[in-house]
Amino acid sequence: MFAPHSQLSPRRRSNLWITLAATGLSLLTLQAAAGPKVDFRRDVEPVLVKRCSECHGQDKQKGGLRLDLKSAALKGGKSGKPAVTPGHAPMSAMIERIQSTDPDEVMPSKGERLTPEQIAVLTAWIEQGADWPENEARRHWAFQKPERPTPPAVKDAAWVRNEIDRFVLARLEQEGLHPQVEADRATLLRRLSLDLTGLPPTWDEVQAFIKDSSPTAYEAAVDRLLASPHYGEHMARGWLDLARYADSNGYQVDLARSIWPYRDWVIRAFNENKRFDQFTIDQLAGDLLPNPTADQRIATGFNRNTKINDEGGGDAEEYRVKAVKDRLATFGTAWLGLTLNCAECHSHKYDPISHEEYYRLYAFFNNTTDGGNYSSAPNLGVPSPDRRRILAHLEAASKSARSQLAAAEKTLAARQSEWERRTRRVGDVWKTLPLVKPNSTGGSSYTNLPDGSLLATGVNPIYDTITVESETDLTGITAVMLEVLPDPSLPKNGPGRWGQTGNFILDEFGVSAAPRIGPAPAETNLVMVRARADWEQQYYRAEHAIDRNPKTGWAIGPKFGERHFLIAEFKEPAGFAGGSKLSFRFDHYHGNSHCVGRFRISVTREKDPNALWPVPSEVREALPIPLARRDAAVNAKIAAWYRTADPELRQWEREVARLDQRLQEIPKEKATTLVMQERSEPTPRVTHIHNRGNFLDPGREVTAGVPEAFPPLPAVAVTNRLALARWLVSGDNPLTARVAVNRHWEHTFGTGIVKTSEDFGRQGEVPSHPALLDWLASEFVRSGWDTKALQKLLVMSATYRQSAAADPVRLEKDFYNRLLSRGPRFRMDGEMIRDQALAVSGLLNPEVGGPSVYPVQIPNLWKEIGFLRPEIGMDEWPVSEGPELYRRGVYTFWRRVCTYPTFATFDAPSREVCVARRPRTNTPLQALAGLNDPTLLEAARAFAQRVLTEGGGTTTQQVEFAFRTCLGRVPSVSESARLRAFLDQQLRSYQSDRKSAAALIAVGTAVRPASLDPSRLAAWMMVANVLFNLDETLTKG
Amino acid sequence: MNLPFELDLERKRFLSRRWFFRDCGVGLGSIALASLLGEGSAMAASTLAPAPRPMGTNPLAPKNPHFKGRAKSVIYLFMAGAPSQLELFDYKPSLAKYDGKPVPKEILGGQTYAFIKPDSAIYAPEFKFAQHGKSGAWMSEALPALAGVADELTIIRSMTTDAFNHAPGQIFMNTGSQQFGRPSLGAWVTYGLGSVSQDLPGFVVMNSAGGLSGGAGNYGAGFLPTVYQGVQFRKGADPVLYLSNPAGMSGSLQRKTLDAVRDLNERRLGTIGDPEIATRINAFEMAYRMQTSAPELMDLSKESPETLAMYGAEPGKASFANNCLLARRLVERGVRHVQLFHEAWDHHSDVKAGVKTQAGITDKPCAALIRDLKQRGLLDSTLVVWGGEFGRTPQVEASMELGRSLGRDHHPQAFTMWMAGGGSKAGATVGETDEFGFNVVRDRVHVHDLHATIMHLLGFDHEKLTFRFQGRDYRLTDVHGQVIQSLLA
Repeated sequence: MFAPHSQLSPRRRSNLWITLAATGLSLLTLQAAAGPKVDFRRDVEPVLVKRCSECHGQDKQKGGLRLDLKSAALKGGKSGKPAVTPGHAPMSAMIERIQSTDPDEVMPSKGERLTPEQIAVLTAWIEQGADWPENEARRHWAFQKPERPTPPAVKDAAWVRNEIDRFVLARLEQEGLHPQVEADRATLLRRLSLDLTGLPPTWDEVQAFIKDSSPTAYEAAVDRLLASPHYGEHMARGWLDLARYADSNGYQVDLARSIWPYRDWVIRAFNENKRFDQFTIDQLAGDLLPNPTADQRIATGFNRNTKINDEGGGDAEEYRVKAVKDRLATFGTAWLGLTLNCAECHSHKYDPISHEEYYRLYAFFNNTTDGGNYSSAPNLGVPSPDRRRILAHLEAASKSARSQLAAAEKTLAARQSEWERRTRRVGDVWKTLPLVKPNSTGGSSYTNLPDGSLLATGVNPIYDTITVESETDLTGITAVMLEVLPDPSLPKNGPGRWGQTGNFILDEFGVSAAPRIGPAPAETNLVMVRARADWEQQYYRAEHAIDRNPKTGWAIGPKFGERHFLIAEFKEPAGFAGGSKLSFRFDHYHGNSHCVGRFRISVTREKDPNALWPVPSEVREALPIPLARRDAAVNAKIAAWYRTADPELRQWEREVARLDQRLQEIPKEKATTLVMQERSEPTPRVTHIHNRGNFLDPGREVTAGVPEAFPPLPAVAVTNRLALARWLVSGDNPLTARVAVNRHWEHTFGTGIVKTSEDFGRQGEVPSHPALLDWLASEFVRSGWDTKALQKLLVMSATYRQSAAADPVRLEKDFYNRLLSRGPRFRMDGEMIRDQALAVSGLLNPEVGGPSVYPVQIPNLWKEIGFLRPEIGMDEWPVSEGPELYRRGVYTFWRRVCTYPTFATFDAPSREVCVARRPRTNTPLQALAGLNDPTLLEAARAFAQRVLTEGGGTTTQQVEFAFRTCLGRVPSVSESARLRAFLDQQLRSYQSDRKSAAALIAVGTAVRPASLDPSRLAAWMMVANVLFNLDETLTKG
Repeated sequence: MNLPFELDLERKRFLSRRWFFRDCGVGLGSIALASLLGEGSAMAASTLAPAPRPMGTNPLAPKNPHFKGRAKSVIYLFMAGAPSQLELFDYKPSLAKYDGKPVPKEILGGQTYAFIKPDSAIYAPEFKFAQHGKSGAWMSEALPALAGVADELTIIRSMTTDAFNHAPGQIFMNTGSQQFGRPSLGAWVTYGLGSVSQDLPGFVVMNSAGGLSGGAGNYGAGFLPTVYQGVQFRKGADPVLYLSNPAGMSGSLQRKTLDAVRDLNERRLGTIGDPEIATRINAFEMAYRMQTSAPELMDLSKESPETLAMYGAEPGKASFANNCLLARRLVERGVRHVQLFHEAWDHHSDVKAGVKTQAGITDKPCAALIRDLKQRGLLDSTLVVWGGEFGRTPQVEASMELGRSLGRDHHPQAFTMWMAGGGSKAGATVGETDEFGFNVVRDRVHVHDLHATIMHLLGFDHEKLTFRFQGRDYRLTDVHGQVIQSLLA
């Protein structure tokens, strides 16, 4: 359903209608001809499209009548009466039928009657001569090949630096506006650096630029920035939004995928200034080139960024078809600026793409081997990335952990004797509970064993929820221990009941408490805050049993057939004076009889979490014997056991093991990427039209081809994706170059010459400077699709170099700067805001390329939204370490169901589908992210360290250093004074509250020199926080 | 020129004159705030569809709908998992009569189910039913509290949907499409109306049970600007991401930070004159207020003991009861759309115990919410909606393999929802199912119709609240939906 997009201001439109309607229908034909002029596109076509075209359009012609073509409407349908007789509404069948009161006659036959206003408009239009541009759709400007226009003459020729300026200035002069003055050099360099690399200039660069008075200084800066490896990273981001590049499969499960080599290919392509025609061909059809290189195959990942369904029950063909249609929609948006997908169910109602032509384009993409269900094949192995930096970090970390471990070894004896003393005093902290009233929803039975455990017998249900009760007089219960025990009667000796291994998966473990006598409180479930186990299977952690997420659980593979235990601590001590009824619940949702087979439950009142690790009875019994009287064997046994339980040792052993594992894994990591692969069958997969877009309702068979409104495909042997890609960049396509240059314009100036950069069709907005768009498009083709030359052309213009300052006249006449009466100024993307903070703080890791990374994030990011699927490899956001925390935003792991929060807050898309431009909102949640995002806070701390170590000896110097490092300019006197006042205020506060200072500067893991005074550092960190949140910092201007 | 451009011009005229010539630098905050809060309304009112607002202004400023709607805000109690209508609202004595017998073939048609065989035996309702209130609404004994407010409810026994699995069913109920990626009801409502509250998110989501099958798409913005997506209040101290100041930064130091940021931004505004700077100054002020207002909102300790008791809410705990009370507090503070998810109703086995437990958890808070809204004069302007993604079968579900017995399977053809307040018709029971509750036989209400009706109550023509994406004007109801007059007061 297409609602008409009004081309008129509402007020003007309603005036027209009111005037027409007020004349009264009977008099209308007399007066309408003299009334306000009706415009076909604005007033008539929307009504025809919305109310008539379904039955009388390109796809269907009821009664032999078409109302989408002038010639057909003049001829009429089978009745022989013209639907439209120009100048004579009463002789037009259309008017007769829409006014009819006979329910069998009145049109439209479906839905409500046309409104009196609509009838009045159609009548007036016919009376006025039925002005109806034949073939309106094809005559739309965007379907005409751009002619290279001559840049117009201007009055102020001295202002002009290149051709762009002539087009812009001519328009400004026409509107009575003057260009703004050129921005000062510091502003210019910051603008240039942010536009070309996404990173701010260093102060040295600013200084050098200001001092360089040569006429080529500006161009030299442009060339330097275009040659930076960070240029490609920055330019790639916009293309990756279009390419819907993400690191996960999408849909409900949204598993991780490896396609980052494609992302790196895009970055390289920009950096190497790959010609845009080759850039196009490689991505759309690199696999079909003769002897394609690995790079050309990696490039085809563009079309493998489609979603893949990982959940059961999906129809494989359905998801494959969805992926093909997504490729078509993306192809349309990215290269043609057209909404091809509008023709999926019926012919496009505004643009010249018929339903059949849509499926002819579909056929190009319908001949690859990939599916859309479960599998990401085909994949391509690619050379391993350079991981030296992270390996060096891990080696250093491992060395440091080993020395910590050695230090802990040295003090082990002291900790053991402290522990012995304590344990002797307290005894066994655990009290085993007698278990009664076992109940299994799945129908198993239970036997009480003498050691207090329960053994499951009988029915072995596939799913089961077990509850069991106990009573106790204990109060102040701090934790519960669940022991799972082996038993010969269980499969493979247990402790679980899964036939193949004896494993179990405890999805949820719950405890509730009520007083033995008297009413139960409203909430009896006890909240558990931490769970630990002696052993956890990979991805099945103890925490998962208490996370209230039924999809995750604790399991013990591969250590089957042994005793294991899980200790869960309560948030608040439990137990009622006068005794409590406790109830324990085991949820097994996993299926396949993954239920616990034998278990025992104990509770404790011990408050020290470090004292909870259960002590074996033989160790406990030996403890009361005075040390002198114990024999060496007993001592050795105790020491050996204590060694396994010592929290400090365990912590460092785990860390060493983890680091060693990472050090071993990383060099072995195989890099792969998703690629396109044509089917090997001799004939292409047959394509049918999908009636009403439904793939289960195939219509006519069609072959690959391009819409008639476009130039034909070049004569080639095989009509495949390669032919289509070459057709796009043949130079004859009216849209490819326009759409591409418009995107660069939007990137640089904030808004495209065509504001709707995703839609150049008749529903899009018309260009603000049509001739300029065409000139740029022809220049782009003429230059050999030279992207860097195009980008350079834009930033070399006087238009670009204007100051961004607005004044009343400019705001009055050019509020949104569509006329370019001042320089571009707009809020940066979330990635840029983060990159900038890392850059000025000195934390930025400038490495280019490699697997995606996981910067610091709030805990439980995925769990909170219910997207944790550890059992199939999607565990919690695995925070990276060391230098990988400070990579540029373009390398952040992009999960479609949960875009990195700070990027999403600043309007990053989910990348589930192609997005041509991000909105640019300005919201309180952005302010909160700017003030409190942990990475930005860590950067503020590191920036403060820089100020204190590099910023000079006096506070005045430091204030200036901080300001100019962040903003690339020297502060005004008043700005300096305000920052200075703020600093003094903060300093006083943190000097009198050193505890807060220590807490503030504890953020993050980046190195902090011990020599810096914590209060000073905290105060400066607050100054950095202010600087990072200034509008000027968040804005390119 | 087209509509957005036209609006740009209008805004330009408004801003440049008033703001620049008269007010720049003088009383800047208040004027900028007026531009954020007020000026959008008049413009939107003059158009049929609220146009895509010029980006860069506050997209959550309150806007007028197409016509004056009865409801100003929505509280949607989403009973995910799909509660059994046959145990709660749709009284079918015949099920008891035929209990244990196979379903007559003529009723079945070609229906398939997720787990059961269609000819599984009929299963008698597990609860006793009675009529309640002056309206005589049928409800089971599982809902004693709701029965007490029967005359406030519009019970729809003739709901029907297209999806019979949880994820697509939930996504369909919340977005009008089984495809992921469409805007949710709450996003459309917030897009259309903005939000009165400028220091809390306009669309708030809370969850009180299991993870949602349909995931975050149930409250996503789809292709609408992300600012309209539901903000899921997090458990714990920080209901909104990054709300709390970091350790070591007190509220007063934060205030001083914001003062410094504002002072420097105002200087910049003086030099550059970009109105966007004024918007940002206000966004920071709103953020600061949110830091106070969100924790204040979450703190239930100031509620009277009577109110707490009525809901069964306990300060500091996470529960459905607390969420219901929070929903009232949110609406009171001008939040536009509140959606509570309680995914706990998927009773494939032991439907009796399951419904009893979940009704036990939800019945009292739901009834309390209605009473509380009413006593505060908020019920007229707040539309409360209750329901799951589909219904449950009249047949029994039992399976040795799956360890299930005496349960009910998914049933999309007919189920029950209810609404209260916000211009819905109090004391009405709409629609009817056949003798066994298989199919709707009178006044069918499809999900699209429900959406159209909700939009109508808010003052929107559901066909005209659209957003252009990939060349198409999308709307919540796609190409469907009829406003159901019998649901309106």
